[in-house]
Amino acid sequence: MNSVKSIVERMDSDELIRLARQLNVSLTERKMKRGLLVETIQGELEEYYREGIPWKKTRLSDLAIQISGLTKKFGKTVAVRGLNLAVRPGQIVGLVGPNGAGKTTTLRILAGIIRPTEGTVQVNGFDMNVHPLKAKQRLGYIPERPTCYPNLKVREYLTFIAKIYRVPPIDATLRMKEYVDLFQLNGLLNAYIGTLSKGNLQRTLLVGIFVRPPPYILALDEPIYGLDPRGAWNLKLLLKKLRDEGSAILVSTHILEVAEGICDRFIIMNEGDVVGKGTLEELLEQTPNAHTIEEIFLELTGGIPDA
Amino acid sequence: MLARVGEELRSFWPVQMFKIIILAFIPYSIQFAFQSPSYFHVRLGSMFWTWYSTGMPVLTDLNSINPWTAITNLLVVAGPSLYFCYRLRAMSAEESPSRLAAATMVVSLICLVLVSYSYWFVPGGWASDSMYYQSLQGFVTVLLVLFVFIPTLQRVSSKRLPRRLTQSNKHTPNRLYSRIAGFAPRNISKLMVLAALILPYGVGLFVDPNNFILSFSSPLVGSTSISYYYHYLLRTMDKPFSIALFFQLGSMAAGFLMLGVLGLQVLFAHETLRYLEDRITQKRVTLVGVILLVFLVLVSVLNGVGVNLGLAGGAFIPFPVSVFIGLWLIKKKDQLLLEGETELTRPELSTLQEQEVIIPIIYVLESRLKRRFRRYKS
Ligand SMILES: Nc1ncnc2c1ncn2[C@@H]1O[C@H](COP(=O)(O)OP(=O)(O)OP(=O)(O)O)[C@@H](O)[C@H]1O
Ligand SMILES: [Mg+2]
Repeated sequence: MNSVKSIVERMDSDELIRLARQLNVSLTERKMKRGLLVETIQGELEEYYREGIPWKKTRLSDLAIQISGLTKKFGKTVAVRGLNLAVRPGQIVGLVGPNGAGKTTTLRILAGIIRPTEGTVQVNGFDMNVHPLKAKQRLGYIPERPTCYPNLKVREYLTFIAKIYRVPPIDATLRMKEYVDLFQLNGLLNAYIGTLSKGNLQRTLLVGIFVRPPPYILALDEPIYGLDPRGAWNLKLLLKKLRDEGSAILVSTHILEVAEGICDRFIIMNEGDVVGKGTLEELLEQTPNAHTIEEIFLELTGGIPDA
Repeated sequence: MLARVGEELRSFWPVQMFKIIILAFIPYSIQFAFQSPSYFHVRLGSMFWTWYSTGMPVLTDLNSINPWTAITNLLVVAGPSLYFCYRLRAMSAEESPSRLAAATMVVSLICLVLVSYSYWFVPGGWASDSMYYQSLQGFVTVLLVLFVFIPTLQRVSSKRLPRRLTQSNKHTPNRLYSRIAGFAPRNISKLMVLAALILPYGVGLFVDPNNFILSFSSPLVGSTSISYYYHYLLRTMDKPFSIALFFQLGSMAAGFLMLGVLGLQVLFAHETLRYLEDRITQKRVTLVGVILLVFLVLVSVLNGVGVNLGLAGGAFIPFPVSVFIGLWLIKKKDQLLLEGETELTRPELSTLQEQEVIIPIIYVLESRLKRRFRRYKS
């Protein structure tokens, strides 16, 4: 409740009035001290969330993401071969590998954009092939090359997303405020998505995911790439916080420092095959010649080049 | 509760009425003319009386204005300013009185025009002395300045620019700037407003074979003209130069234009202040300055084609001293505003909570209706 209250404290007048409208707060005076308005709204929110904050009660299935026996062929090219992978709530798993290893293909199959040649993908216990809507309801996906409706304004996109995911408007307003602030999109709420820079588009898509209630199951394809240092820092902190609150996160990256900094476990891929798996310690044990994640990576994907 | 309000009103209205009565008896039109050692005349005019004297008993005259006309006219033109005063008292420190002040000015002008032409439709409405109508305009100007502009600016400048201009000798590029910077913004703002009110916005020049008249106009002082009549000298060689001095407080033959000049000058001073404290962009303050300049040029053109601004006619050259001061301040902002605490833009949370939020009127009405309806249902 306190976190909800502090969001209200940070709102500006327009946002406060919008929220008051949604909460149906009766305001009969033309002018009002800000502090009083904030308190009134906080009181109404307390009433609104009397039964407890709904998303705090949601639990994910124990295997939030489960990929089994996944193979994907494009003609003769095998992009992914026999991949098995599971991400549990409270875990961040890194999908690392050189260019063309099959990371993006894996995530696109996970998101239900393309179908696997063999094998199954399950999100929160729902098979992507059998119950695509239920599986996608929980999944948040950021593509490698973000695209979005260029003719919508950022604000319109975010409210649109909230509506199609059936997020109650009050929840959506609160979370939008929180994440718009976090990703510093305040000045861009009225900008057309078509005019955004790559990094800001990525931030917009991220906020679009977080407008939905936690816990999240995230499939992020190179999420750090394209963000400026502050954005990257915020995102890393956020992912760790979400993990601690019970979200399940799968990130693909070939930036090893990022992977090392946030991931609990790694899946190392090379040319469609899984060549290594496990925590950093486990991987170090498997590769006696390697001492760092970089060396593990090189060792497993073609050997450490001689100096 | 009601008794207390009544008490406040009782102490408020007498004070204001007392001020108005004093203002009503002060002369607004003053003319001295010394045209030769043997001839001079003095004319004075107020809201209740006019006086004309040449020093000779036959040509000395004190006229009183028809009291009913004088009192009704006075009440009509003073009404808006009094209402403003009354509303200003009730306003909290966060509210900006600027809009109400602008509205008061417009309504005052309309009242002034109505009253000036009331003799067309009110029988016996003519005040019997044309000088009275000049005084009426002067009275409205002074009233607006004392009851509206100065209180507004006091409000505005007292809450603005709190700490930005601090004296720090480290970054001072120039002694003059540091002195001005040390002078504190409130004083700068007061000076600018004073300049806007007193300094001339235009210089009138009138030359013909017989006369040479130079006059200055400013909103508060009105038109002060120095006339050199040298036709005596040309005709009869025995008469020396003669000088007439007209001093007309707030004389506005074209009251709209005059008050327009006054309003725009004060607005420009206000916007300059806001720019100095980083509340508005340079573009905006420059825009207001340019509008003021354009307006002054317009006024001079109109003056050239015969709309007289209390000047003696002839060429009227815009001479906007306050614009120059303002533009100079804008240009030198960085030197004037020394680096110091610049945390102005982020008020602390506690002061933030004190801010007023204006609820959209539709929302307020909706809420009130709903409340009514709910009561009605239960
Ligand atoms: N739509 C497609 N049609 C044909 N081949 C494809 C298609 N998509 C991917 N591939 C191939 O599959 C392989 C794996 O590609 P993928 O994009 O998954 O690699 P990646 O690990 O994401 O690489 P990067 O680090 O460069 O993003 C590549 O050889 C690629 O050429
Ligand atoms: Mg990729």
